Amino acid sequence: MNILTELWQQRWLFLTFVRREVTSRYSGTIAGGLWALGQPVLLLMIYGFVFRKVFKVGFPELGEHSFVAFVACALWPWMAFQEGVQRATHAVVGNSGLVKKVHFPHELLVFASIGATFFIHFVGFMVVICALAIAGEPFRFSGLPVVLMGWLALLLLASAIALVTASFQVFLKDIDHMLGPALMIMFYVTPILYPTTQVPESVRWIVAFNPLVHLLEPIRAGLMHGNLAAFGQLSLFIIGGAGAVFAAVLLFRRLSDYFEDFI
Amino acid sequence: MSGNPVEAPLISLSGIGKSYPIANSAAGRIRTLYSLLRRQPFAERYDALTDISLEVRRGESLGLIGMNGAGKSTLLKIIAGVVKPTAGALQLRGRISALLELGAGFHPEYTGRQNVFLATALMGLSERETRERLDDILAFADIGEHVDQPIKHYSSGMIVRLGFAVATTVSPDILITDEVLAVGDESFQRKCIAWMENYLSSGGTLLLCAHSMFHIQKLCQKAAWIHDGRLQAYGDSHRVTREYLAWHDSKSTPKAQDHAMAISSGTYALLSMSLNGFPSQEGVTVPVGASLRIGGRVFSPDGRVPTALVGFVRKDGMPIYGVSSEMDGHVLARVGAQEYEFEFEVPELSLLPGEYRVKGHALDPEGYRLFDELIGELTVIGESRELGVCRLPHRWNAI
Repeated sequence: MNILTELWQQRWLFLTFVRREVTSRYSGTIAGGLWALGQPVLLLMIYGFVFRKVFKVGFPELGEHSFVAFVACALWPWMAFQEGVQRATHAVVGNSGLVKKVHFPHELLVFASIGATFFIHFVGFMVVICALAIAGEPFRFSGLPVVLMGWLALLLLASAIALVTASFQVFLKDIDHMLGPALMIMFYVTPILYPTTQVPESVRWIVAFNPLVHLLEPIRAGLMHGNLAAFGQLSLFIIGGAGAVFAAVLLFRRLSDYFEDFI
Repeated sequence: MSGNPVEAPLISLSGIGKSYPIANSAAGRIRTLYSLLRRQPFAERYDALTDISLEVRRGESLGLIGMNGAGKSTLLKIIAGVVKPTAGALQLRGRISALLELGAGFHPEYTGRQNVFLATALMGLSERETRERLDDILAFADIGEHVDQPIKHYSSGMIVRLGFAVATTVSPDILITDEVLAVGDESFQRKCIAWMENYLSSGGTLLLCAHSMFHIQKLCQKAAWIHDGRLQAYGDSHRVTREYLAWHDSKSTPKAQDHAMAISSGTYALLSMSLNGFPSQEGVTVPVGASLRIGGRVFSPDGRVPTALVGFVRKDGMPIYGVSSEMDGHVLARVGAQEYEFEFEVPELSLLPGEYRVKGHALDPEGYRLFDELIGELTVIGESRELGVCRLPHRWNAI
């Protein structure tokens, strides 16, 4: 509880950090926030072209939906997760001036970095989903509660992971190099470009170990079919995620006392 | 007992120690990470501070002195909360503002205004509280329309000005500074000093880490001498600085003075000093009770009247007497656009026979910042059976 009250007292600092993250990412660019949308949209177009036009991929799960809409539902949450973890891993090291000279809870840097990334991509997600819906994609907005829960669980998961990687990164610079390939593999083993049902039965149990499966699939099912079945499962993930973040903060704090010496 | 209950100290350290792991190799870093996670003591460690106990009360400023690497900055960082001690107990009361490095929290890509909001948020101010203070901060920093440009286009002086303006906006109970008095341009330094004087006279408490004994004596009631991570001496600032200087001089590393550099960097400088008409570097020999005239020429970069300080020390560094023109209200004679002269006379030198040094210093007009130093050897000769260093006016009264 101590940690929670302390973090609550620092809410102004947190908001300032987040605002700084969001504005700085696109300051000096002409297109500004459009870049946040541009990169995933470009990826989406490439995937659409390669898989739909070249490979002629199709599966029954698509139903009345387009392949682009199918990928879009999972691509933005994935981008938020991947970019959030990657950026937040550098949050402590990248703010060495602050860490060495000013007293404040260092985990705020990680939370702010994750928060800013999720904010940007969540906005992008909403824009793209709305744009597709206007273009005639039959999304079911009744699935919105599950979609939001999926995002929240994803945010907690990314925060817990990033707290560990960001604190380890101060001591071992290898973390950063390991993270790139690890996230790339994760992208392909997570059902973003394909549904879980397309995975061969024999290895499907391995896929079940990937927590992202249990978060991205409900988001997609919620939007595409208005399926709210994952409500209970996501609730558990949110509770578990909150616990994981709490544990990660405790671990982070064991290391953060020595950041200023190693950074 | 007086009626007033004694106020608890603002800062109270007891048995504070700090050790760092030694991790030079990759394996060492992994071992360190492992022992941190397991909360085990480090296999190899370096003790930066050992068993430091001291107290700072309201209005009782403390100066930290010691060699580079003695642990002064680590101690300041512990009190500022940047470093967690590994041993001992630390109690803090009141609002602490730390100027460990002016503009430390600033980000080069953001404008001055955005950085002000970040820096004040780091001090715990809400956005509304910052808005209320923004005009004052910007007025103090006086950086004009630059405030809406990214900090990376600022000169270092402008960053420092903004940093000082932000750090002092909250009127802290304790202000921690790490040698930041001598920053910024001339006019801003005067502003800082004026602020500091006002702060101290209105009951503020300063925790200062400085290499200038002069500042410590002028600004602090107490001083702590840290040597090799331990508290070597602690108490009255004059006594502690004296002990430190004596120890320092006994190690005797004569400092080469580079006047050309002082002048080119635009600071006050003592161009030359004479003892009874001879250049100070030749030294002078004077009989007991004779007169001693000390003359000097002082360079003033901005043409304002500088302050001259003359001091007598024993050969082992113990100060005997020092006085400045500012203390006596004497105004140096102007001899050029940027040059001033003084002559200081001791009609009857009451120093006992022995070896002494005469020190001349150039200071700013306010008599705060010491810029330059010339030393001349003074030998006092004569017959005397008296004890000590100097003869006091006295008489034996008939009863």
